Amino acid sequence: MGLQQILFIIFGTIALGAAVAAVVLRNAFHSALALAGSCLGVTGLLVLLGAPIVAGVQALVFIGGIAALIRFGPAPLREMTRQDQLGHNRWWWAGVVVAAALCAVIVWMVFGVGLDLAPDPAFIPSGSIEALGISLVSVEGFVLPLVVIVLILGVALAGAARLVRRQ
Amino acid sequence: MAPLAWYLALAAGLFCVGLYAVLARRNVVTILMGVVLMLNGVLVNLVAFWRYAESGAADGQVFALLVILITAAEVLVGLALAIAMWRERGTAVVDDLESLRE
Repeated sequence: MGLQQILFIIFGTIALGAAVAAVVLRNAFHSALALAGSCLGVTGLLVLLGAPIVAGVQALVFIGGIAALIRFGPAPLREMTRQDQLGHNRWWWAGVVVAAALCAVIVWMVFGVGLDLAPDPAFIPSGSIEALGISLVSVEGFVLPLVVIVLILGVALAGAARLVRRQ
Repeated sequence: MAPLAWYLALAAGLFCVGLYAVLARRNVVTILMGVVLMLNGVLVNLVAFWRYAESGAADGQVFALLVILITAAEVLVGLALAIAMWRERGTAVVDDLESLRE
């Protein structure tokens, strides 16, 4: 077993274990910490896959933004995660059955199909960063979708601020 | 390098843990955390397929970045709606919000 596979197992265990902890723990503070830990594991996996820019943006947005916002955000958010507001609904067992069945079907299909894709041996991470940069600013690339998404994000920010503002 | 199937299986696990949170939790903030976990699984899938199938182009990374930005917008609006709901109704439990059914 190579170093990359050992690192995959470490980061994968962190990502999956922390994700389970985030949805099972009853304490909101611990739950938000576990969510940040899961995002950290995913960040490690993205670096392993040779996408450091995506990993950096993921860490900034999910760990620095969302997990911190949930835990250290405005006072109503802290009140909303009081003990009496948490817990599972009475159909939680149906959620377990559906999630476990879906996971089993996907894993069975993934290993049953026998994917024979192999990574490109000539892949260079710095080359992929350059290709990403060119693709994001090129008219033939993805500059239009990026502008649209940034506009959507701006509208969402303005709308969220309007919703949260006290009357 | 780890086989592609390992990444896909892990992504399926992350997605299903998030799905469980969406289906079984009562609090709107924890449901949003479940949605974030589901999108993390999608992100791993996108980047893994890019790396194994088409690492010469940047398309997979661009899609992953767009998914991250959309997730940020979705969580922002979701949390803002949850705060507005808390101020209006004094609850963050989705089972208590049945007015849309009436």
